[in-house]
Amino acid sequence: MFHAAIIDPKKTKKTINLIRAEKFIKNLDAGASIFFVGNIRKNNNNKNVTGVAYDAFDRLAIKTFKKIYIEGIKKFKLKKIKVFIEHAKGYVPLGKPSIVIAVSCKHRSEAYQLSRYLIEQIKIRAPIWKKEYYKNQKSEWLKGISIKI
Amino acid sequence: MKIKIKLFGNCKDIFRSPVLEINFAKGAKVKNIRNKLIEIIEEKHSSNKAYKDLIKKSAFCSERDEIVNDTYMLNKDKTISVIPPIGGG
Repeated sequence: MFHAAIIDPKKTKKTINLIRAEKFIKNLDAGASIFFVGNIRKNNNNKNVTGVAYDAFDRLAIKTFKKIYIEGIKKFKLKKIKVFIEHAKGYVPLGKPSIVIAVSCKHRSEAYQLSRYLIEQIKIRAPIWKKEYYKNQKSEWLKGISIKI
Repeated sequence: MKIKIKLFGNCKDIFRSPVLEINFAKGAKVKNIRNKLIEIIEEKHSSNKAYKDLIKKSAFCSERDEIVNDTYMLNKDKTISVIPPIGGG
């Protein structure tokens, strides 16, 4: 089972949280659950970060999440797993989560492998952009990685 | 033909809009759109090198959500999306 969403507080009252993730991946076939949470940290490249604004191409991002999930299942030969991915859009203040990836699998080794695979691939393939805001009132879009054709 | 160019990330700020509508000759390719965006930067941003590099490094996405290269012809597409270098998470 798979769930993916881009959470934009302007369009929905939801924010990124672990409660929905925990409910979704509840799985009696699974002996292992892994929760990965990406948070806004206070320092990046020696700059004091106060928050990050995310932009996303929602439809393509969700398609990409699903593609990566299917690849992960094949790569690690997984069965009866559940995966939940939500990524924030819009402004996320310091300390708050920008992404949650939750997986439940039969064994811990495959849960760790899949969770790691999902986040690493999302970082380089999902059409999402971030603009950092700093204590000195300045802001800048981070450079990012070109999508390969 | 009028093409809607959807913009994301830094491109929204550079062009001060989430979408541009520009007329292109029939049979226009992605390459023509990329060049047009660079032309706009040359006119409106005094040829800002960082902005031009961003467009050069950007991918383009068709209406069918496929990443397409510079030779892709916009026959049926009325919309194309510019995908600048990404970095979520």
